[in-house]
Amino acid sequence: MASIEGKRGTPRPRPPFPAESGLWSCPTLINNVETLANIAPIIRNGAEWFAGIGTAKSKGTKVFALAGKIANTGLIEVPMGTTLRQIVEEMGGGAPGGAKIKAVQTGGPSGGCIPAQELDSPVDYESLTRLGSIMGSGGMIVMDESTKMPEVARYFMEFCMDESCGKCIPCRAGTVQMHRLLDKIVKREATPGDLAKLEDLCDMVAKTSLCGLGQNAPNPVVSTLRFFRNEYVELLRPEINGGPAAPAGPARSNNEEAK
Amino acid sequence: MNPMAAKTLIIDGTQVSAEENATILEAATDAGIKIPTLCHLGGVYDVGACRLCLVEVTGVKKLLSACTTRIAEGMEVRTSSEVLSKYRRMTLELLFAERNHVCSVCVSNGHCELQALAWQHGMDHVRYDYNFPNWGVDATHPLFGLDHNRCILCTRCVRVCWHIEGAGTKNVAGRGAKSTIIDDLHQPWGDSDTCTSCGKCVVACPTGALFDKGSTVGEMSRDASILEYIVNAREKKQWIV
Repeated sequence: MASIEGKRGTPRPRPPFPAESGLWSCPTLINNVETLANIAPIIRNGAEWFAGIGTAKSKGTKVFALAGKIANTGLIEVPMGTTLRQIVEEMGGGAPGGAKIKAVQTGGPSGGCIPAQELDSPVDYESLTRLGSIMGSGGMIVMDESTKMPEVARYFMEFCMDESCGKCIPCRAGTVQMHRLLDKIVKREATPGDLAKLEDLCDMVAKTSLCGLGQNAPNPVVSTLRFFRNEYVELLRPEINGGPAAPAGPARSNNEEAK
Repeated sequence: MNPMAAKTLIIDGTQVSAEENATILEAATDAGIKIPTLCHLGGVYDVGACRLCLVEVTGVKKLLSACTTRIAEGMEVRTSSEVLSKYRRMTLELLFAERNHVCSVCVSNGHCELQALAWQHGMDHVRYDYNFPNWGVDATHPLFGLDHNRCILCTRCVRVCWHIEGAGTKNVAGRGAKSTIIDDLHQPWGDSDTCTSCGKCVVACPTGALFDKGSTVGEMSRDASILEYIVNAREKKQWIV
């Protein structure tokens, strides 16, 4: 809407919702392409036909972009309620080389990771929410045993950091700090304090950001921490996990980093 | 619609009446209840960007920005709580870590809204690593300077420039952490064809990012409420004598 008005593309606080005051302050209806694409067949075949597909609460079909460690990648359209296992193993043909599937990430960069033990869950709005993920943009990325979850979280956080518009502080500055903490964890430089700081920031950025991008940016971290916390803990500094202390490097302070 | 219609709501347990189209922030301010904010500025529209004025409203799951949420009859608002204080302090820490806010060498030391809020929220240290970015200083304007290192991107200067002065010199370029305040088509301020050198942006700035050249720390005290007087005189014909 801001772009159509010739303004900088930043979100506006709601309320007022676009349905009350949107483009040029007029009531505005916003739908994505997938929703609009559903309308013609519904008119042609009737509402009963559409409602007959899917689950009790999530109707119709959903298009997913299947990608990642999977034999058959590409776009698929499935009725709501299809299980993740059917999608990944039957349509996707499983991980190449028979590798074990570890998790499925749904909902795009701000979605969540669903662990392999939940593969029999149906894909509908309610189940995905229960598992801490979202339908979102319809991305579905399959990960096998070789995938490191903190690296996945760092990758998605980098995306959110780059995509932040910069209007509100929690998203603009919070994603930068969360990305830095994730980077520290991946590089085995983090302490338990850093992990606590990261979790604190996830909560704060999700609750205080202005728009959906910031509110969902912590999702990949929160969901991987929920199901794969041990991977984060294992990456904390070696001496914390009972290993030998890292070789003493030159003492670093913030001031020295700046030079 | 009756222009004098009022609505009654409860803010922090106190019954408050305010004009029906007032925001939570306006209703609270009128009732003497202070809600922290950095991007709100009387006289220009609100953007809800700094997220410091977030409040809890009974029956609403999300936190709402007081500056952009209109009051409703019977609304129950809490402006402070343990979790709100925690988020506000974290927001301030994120700001301090984002650019180079070194009070001791800042021309606005003692007259800075960011510094004052940090004091009020007991922000005695910053838990995040500082970014230490290398933003430049634009000193090309004969009267004013712009130190991007002290900018918090509240866009008050942009809004006063467009909507009070009507010059449209200041704007925001870039995205995310790379956002920056620019003049005209991202050119040196001193080369701007549109800037009228009115200085409203300097008055509006909450930190030391915009400053009068040659001012000492003691001379940098600014009163941003004078900007609202201009708007009230122009739009409501209310003159301050």
